[in-house]
Amino acid sequence: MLSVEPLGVGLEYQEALRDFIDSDADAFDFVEVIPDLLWRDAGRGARPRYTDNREATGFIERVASRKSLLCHSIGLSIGSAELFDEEHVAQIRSWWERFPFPWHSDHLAYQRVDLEDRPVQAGITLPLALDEETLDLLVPRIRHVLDEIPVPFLLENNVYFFELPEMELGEPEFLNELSSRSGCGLLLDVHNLYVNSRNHGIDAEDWLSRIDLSKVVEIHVAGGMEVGGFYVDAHSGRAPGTVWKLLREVLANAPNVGAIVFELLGSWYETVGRDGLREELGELRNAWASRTRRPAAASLPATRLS
Amino acid sequence: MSLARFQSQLMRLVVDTSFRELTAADPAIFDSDPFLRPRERRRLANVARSDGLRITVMLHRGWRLGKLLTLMPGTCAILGPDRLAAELGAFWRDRLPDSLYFHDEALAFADYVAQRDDLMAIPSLEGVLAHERARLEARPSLVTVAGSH
Repeated sequence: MLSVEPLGVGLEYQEALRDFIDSDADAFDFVEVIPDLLWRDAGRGARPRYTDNREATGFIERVASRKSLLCHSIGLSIGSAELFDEEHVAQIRSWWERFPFPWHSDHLAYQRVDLEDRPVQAGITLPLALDEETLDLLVPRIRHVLDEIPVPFLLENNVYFFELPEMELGEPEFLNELSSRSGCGLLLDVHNLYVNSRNHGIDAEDWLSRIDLSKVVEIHVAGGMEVGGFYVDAHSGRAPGTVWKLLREVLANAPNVGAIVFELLGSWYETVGRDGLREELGELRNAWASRTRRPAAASLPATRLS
Repeated sequence: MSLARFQSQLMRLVVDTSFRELTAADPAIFDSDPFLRPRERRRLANVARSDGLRITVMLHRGWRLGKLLTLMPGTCAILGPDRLAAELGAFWRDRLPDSLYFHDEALAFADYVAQRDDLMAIPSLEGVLAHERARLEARPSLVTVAGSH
């Protein structure tokens, strides 16, 4: 058992935020990086498969010299039934050796399949069927990740815009079972929960009452927008009031949270502005300061329980 | 096999325009798929007729468009929104996205445009396209524009 030391308030790295990261380092405690943005992936089987974006990686190295880093990947597609990309896990491992992040995360979804032996990439996270069959698929994969990278691994609750009927488990129950059986932690994106509650009429308070909040290690906060009759997770601005309310509720009841991260797509930085971004991070700081203090030793397993 | 088939068909509903048109024309298409279980057939039929699929397709296409706008801004600007939408519709119909990274797709789109005499007749497009293509070829590691989530 390893403890998860709290990191505090973080900002997700985007190229457009570099100046802010340099000039406003007092506004956040750490930076969360989507590592897939910093390399080029030539695809499974290619040699070499991964090529660093040296310029971007150089910036991250400079950030890492003065701030903690977290790793939030988008490339594993852990729910793809037909393929499990162990090379991607190995790449994350090499990143962990280079930038020793205290935990890392990806998305509970799939975005890649092979069609007629050719890879197809959706570019957006597609929902998994919340069934026992999916749990059976995911658990050994998560254990593989935990074996390869000896720090906690978190999976993020997904957004979805269509529903798959006749699912065997509700989303909170699925997340609870997944975490319990595999040893993974949870990255609770409260904006994703808000998006799903708006689009599908989910009662967010009830959802939170059913999930095991002791498994939540990290929280994401973001803003979105209305598009075509739906509210989408666009990371396009300031977080809505309901998201802040949900954040405070989670923080009051989740004893093992180590970090909260604000996500803003770089192309929206100009709209939000430096002051706006500082205000959002300030709100995060206020929420973080009010969180429930946990006992000194965290209870989340850092690697899987064998 | 069944779950993999289900995921593949769901993926095709999102990324494959021709397949979506096929399912719209024949809503019972999944009923005759021997590789799917009954519940998976019902799930796919439900998705195919949902408004949520429409917005999911929009987000997927927005992701694809956004990356081309980033990598080939001049070409996209010269084509203009209407022409660009029409040409991308045709280009994407024959090419499914295969990676989070759009270097190869941008080069393929550059080839697609370069082979079209009617497009190359648009003033200044040829020079801008050549410049953007040369940039892509020269610095592939700098254009690691993966998808959003």
